[in-house]
Amino acid sequence: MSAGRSDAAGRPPTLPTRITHRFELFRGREWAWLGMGTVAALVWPLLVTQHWLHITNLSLIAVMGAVGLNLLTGNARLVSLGQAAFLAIGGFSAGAMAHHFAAPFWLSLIVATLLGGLFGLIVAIPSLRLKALYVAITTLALHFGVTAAFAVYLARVIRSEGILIDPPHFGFFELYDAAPWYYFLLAIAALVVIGALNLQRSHLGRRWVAVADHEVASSALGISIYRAKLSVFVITSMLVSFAGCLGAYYEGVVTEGFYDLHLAIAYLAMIIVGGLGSVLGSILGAFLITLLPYGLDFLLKIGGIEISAGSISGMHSVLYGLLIVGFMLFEPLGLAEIWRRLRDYFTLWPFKYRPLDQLRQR
Amino acid sequence: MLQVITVLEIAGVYALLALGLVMIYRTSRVLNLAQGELAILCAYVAAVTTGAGFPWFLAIPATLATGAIAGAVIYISTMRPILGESPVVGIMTTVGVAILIRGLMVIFFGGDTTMLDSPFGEAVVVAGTEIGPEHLVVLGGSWGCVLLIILFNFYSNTGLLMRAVSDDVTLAAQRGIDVDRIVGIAWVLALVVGAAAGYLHGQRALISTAATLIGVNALIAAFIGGMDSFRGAIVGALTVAVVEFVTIQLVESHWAEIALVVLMLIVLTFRPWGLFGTVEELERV
Repeated sequence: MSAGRSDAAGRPPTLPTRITHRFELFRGREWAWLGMGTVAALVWPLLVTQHWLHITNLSLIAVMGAVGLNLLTGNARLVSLGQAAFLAIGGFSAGAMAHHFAAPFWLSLIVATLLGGLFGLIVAIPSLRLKALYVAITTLALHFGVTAAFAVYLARVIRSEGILIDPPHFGFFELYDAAPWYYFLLAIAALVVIGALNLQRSHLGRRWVAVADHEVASSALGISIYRAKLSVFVITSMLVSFAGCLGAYYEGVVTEGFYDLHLAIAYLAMIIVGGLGSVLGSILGAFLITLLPYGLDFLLKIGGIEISAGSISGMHSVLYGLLIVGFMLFEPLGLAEIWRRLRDYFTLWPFKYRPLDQLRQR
Repeated sequence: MLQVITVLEIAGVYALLALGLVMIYRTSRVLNLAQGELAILCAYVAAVTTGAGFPWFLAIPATLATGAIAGAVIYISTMRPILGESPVVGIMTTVGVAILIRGLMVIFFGGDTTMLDSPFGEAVVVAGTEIGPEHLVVLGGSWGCVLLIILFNFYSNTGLLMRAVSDDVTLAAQRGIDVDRIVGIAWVLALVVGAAAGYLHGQRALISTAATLIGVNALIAAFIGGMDSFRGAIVGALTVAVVEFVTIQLVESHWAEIALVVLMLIVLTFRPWGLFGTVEELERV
């Protein structure tokens, strides 16, 4: 793109006849960071104990759910309190498929994803006519409706506290230990992250943001609000339900008590702490919030403080609440913004601002 | 007879909570998702003060004062900084407050389940049926408070100012109304009313962290009636109470929540602004 500059002979610049875009995902130095990150991720199971690998696996599942929720709440600005409900739909369809039909892993995943999309459609229909405010209450209502329905299902059909799910098979190989699960989840999480990044850049993702910014203006620009809202609900619900199904297979059991409102709020905390509308933020937030309870237990153990289990769960809630309110008030763009500022500080030092011709890169 | 009284009791508690939600929504356009949590927190305070041997005429003011203090603290620390921001920010902040309060309840009250003793001890016979004292307290207390709120809103000076702020914030501010003060008063009042609802709930049912579900049911009531309508909140509360009671009697308690959700989704699909709410204008470009 040298069309804008006058040449050596001083002739006026020619107008560009073609517009070329730079479409690469990563540039020079970023490839190096990515390579180092990949190597670190691949050797990670060799470095840590089983306990921490288990926590990493939980975080990876949380990353998928948080990426989905962040597309819905961060990009399309539709506050969803139904995260636990969609995770439960995924988990319970895995459980039901395994219990009634002894279905293979891949079939359960497909069914869970499709069911999640169906329920997303059901919630999306009333929300088409409503503003952001009402979406929060419809999804909250969905949460209570779905958890009550699953409680009835467990009590009447299964007649047990939960459903056990056998670990998935690939031929003779059984996905059971933490390390194989880690590589499996890492690959899927990487796909989800790349998919979400691409979705944000695609016409679909940009429509979601446009509709969130101003419905009337974006419909005047020819964007169908109906299609935008339906698509964001269906796609993110499918993703979250998929994550819920994976989570159920990983845990090996589905219970009703696991999918409480606390879980939905924990996911909201992830995207608020990480950064609304940012995929990097979803990843950072998912890891931080998943680590938080274990980190707290670890600190208490080191400090030699004995607290009853009830108080500890209360402390987790208080911490979530403080994090949500604190980030909402003081750093609404979350850890992703802090990370960006830190990176700019170090890469630009001793200067404070980017040079003018680089300003538009970010 | 007893069935009617039970429905009216449930409806009274829901109506109080829903009126609080409507008051907050009308003035600050924020959906307070922490209403149920705050009500139960205040009910715990009542349980602790009566448990410590204080008589009811000290326990009730302590409960209401807790609500007032909570309202003032929440308004000043979290709501004032985000005043005028998009509703998304408000919702998420109240979600944070809700989970914070839930955690505090678990830490300080250990997630116990308790019940409150009734201030009065004697049963009354009305039309041949014996009615326990707690029924009278809940019925009289809740509907009396509802009446007080309506009177306050329509016949007091502050109520007039509140209605002005809810009609048009900019115009109200230009006419010299201290919007900040009015919104603050609305928050404090709404949570005092919420505390009363929590106390009355404790008179007729168990207080536990699971009881915060009354906040969700009150939200459903407010949405069915229309978020900016006092009349709607009362009608919505009656509807929710009837549906809940009938479903529990006919089927079981799990189905009540499902029935309420379905009812609300139907109402919101056909009348998104609720039964009595104002039809919101489209935003201009």
